[in-house]
Amino acid sequence: MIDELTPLHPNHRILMIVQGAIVGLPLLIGGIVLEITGKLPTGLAIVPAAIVALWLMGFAPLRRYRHKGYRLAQDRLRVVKGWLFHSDTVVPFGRVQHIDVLRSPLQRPFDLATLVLHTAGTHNSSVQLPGLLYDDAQAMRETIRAFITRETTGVLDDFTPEDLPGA
Amino acid sequence: MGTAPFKEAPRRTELLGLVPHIAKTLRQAIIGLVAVAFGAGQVGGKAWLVIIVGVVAVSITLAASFVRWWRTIYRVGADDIRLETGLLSREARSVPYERIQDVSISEPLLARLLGLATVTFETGAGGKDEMTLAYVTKAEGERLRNVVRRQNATPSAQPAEHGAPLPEGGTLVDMPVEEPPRVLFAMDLRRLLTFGMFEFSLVLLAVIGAALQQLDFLLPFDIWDVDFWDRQLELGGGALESLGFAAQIIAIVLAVVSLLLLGVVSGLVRTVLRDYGFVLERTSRGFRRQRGLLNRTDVVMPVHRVQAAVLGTGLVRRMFGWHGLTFVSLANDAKSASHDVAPFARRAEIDPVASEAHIHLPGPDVEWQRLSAKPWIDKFVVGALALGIAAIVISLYEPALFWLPLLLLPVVAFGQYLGWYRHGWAMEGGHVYVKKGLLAPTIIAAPARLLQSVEIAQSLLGRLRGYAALRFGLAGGNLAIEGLARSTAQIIRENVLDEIARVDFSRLNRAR
Repeated sequence: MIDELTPLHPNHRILMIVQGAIVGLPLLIGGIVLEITGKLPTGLAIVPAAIVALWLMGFAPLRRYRHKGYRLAQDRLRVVKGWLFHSDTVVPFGRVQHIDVLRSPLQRPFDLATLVLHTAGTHNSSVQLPGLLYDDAQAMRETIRAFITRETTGVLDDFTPEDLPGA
Repeated sequence: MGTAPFKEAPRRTELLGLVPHIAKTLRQAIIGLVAVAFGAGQVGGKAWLVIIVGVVAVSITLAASFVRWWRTIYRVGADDIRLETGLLSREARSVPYERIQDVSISEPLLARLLGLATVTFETGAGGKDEMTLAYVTKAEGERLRNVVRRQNATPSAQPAEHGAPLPEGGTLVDMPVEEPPRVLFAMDLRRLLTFGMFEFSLVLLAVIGAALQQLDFLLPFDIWDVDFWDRQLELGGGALESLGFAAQIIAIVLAVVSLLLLGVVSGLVRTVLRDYGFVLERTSRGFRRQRGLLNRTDVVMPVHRVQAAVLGTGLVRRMFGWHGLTFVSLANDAKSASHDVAPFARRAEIDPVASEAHIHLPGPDVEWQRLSAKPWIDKFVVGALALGIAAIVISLYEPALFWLPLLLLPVVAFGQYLGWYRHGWAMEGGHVYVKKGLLAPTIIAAPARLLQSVEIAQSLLGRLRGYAALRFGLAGGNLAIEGLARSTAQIIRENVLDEIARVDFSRLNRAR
């Protein structure tokens, strides 16, 4: 299990910084304005605003990016994410029900997409892998779809119920 | 677009399908418009404003419906059916033919008048995730259904174990193998009454008590009035109060006994009403369960839909060797009530029922693996901290009562201890077994090949202290092991993934 993880595309890091900036920048501007008006003691508005903004736009996205990764193996996809709540999920292609490729308006300028694998499980019924190049996401979908077709119709033809444990 | 060869050009759904869609949104809009009109009438009747608002709202609705229709494209491919939707957020869904278990066509009233239908491709993933096309012509719906059936009926896709080829246009459901129904489990009246005795519920008592207190104004007398009982018992003025201490104790004992009796009776009645004439049969279509006295239910559950078995028991009934068996079924069955298959039985009766669903329940020789106590210790520490803070806050206002929250400490500690003590796991014969519970252990037995995904989850605390949770994707239920070392979690995951890789999902649903 010491597989090398593939990092997400660097564009995803920029996207996460942009997402952080959507909240962080107004906060920073608000802090500066409040500081200029001078109604509060010096630094009481700008310093916390700057710290939170820096965390949202720099520290948090960079760390989150570092902890994300995936590995596409022959018959399974492994998705790793999270620092505070770390999760390491494996979905065997043999259990994939259907596959989505999502592109949000923010992802489009960065040529990114999210691959979503749906399973019948109650827990992890859809496993999301963001931060893939659109073409890569589509190629992965084709790989997984081809696996499903091959696996269902070919290799396992000699499968019988007696093969099942406990049958 | 993708690299797969497409059989057909991309298509849109029927433009006419906008009519039922718009009709539906207008119906909702009209209610809003009436509200606006009413509001305008109140402030001074500017009719033109209402009309403008109405026209704008309706045009936006029409435009949105049209754009949505225009941006929805489906395509029948060589290996899958694809659906692309969305104006700003594009979503492209791919459903491989192999995963489509059935194609259902429904015709709501208005659509039917226009000759249109909704097509749903059912994969067993459960309601909201299924791919739906609304609306296409009825002929197109039939054509799509036939495309899927043809794709799935090609020789290599046939269930190998049946040998005989599927009939033209045949369905994917198991070929019926005629066999007479066999009774797997039944409860006679004696068993039912024994069961009822154990269904004694203090919770129900509390509910009755609370209801009496809340609803006593509905009663024609005041049940808390001593004089009333004096009159009823014909004791005469103030007799109960004057009877003295001993009599009061007797009265309390009588009250407790009558409450207990009420608990037993209500448990018995509830059980008899629910489980009278309980019969579980194995028919050619699957498990068939009939039960109920006034409201008799008859449920059929196909064998291949059973994902796991849950072996439960209770604090008291466990000492007498009684257990209950429930099946976990695919997610979209979950709403159709419980899957009790043997609610009150001996292990010797339960094990054959589970085997019928190809699930082996753990015997006494199974080696249960203990777990690290760290997660439970951490939970206790967090709980203790919260109680400590509460004690400090209270001491600020009522210094004499600061110890009150601390009384809960032993309860929290004992709860966490039991949580750890009861938790265990085992893996044998391709099954994952998880044991948990507070007062009595519940065992979940899931064949590893029926699991859908495996996740190793670690909180920051868990990473610092070196424990992880292993969460399995189980259709229709939850299966998780807490407090594993990360390396152990990885080994279990590899074993489970190996089992999963042996059988493809589509085969799980067609085999047997």
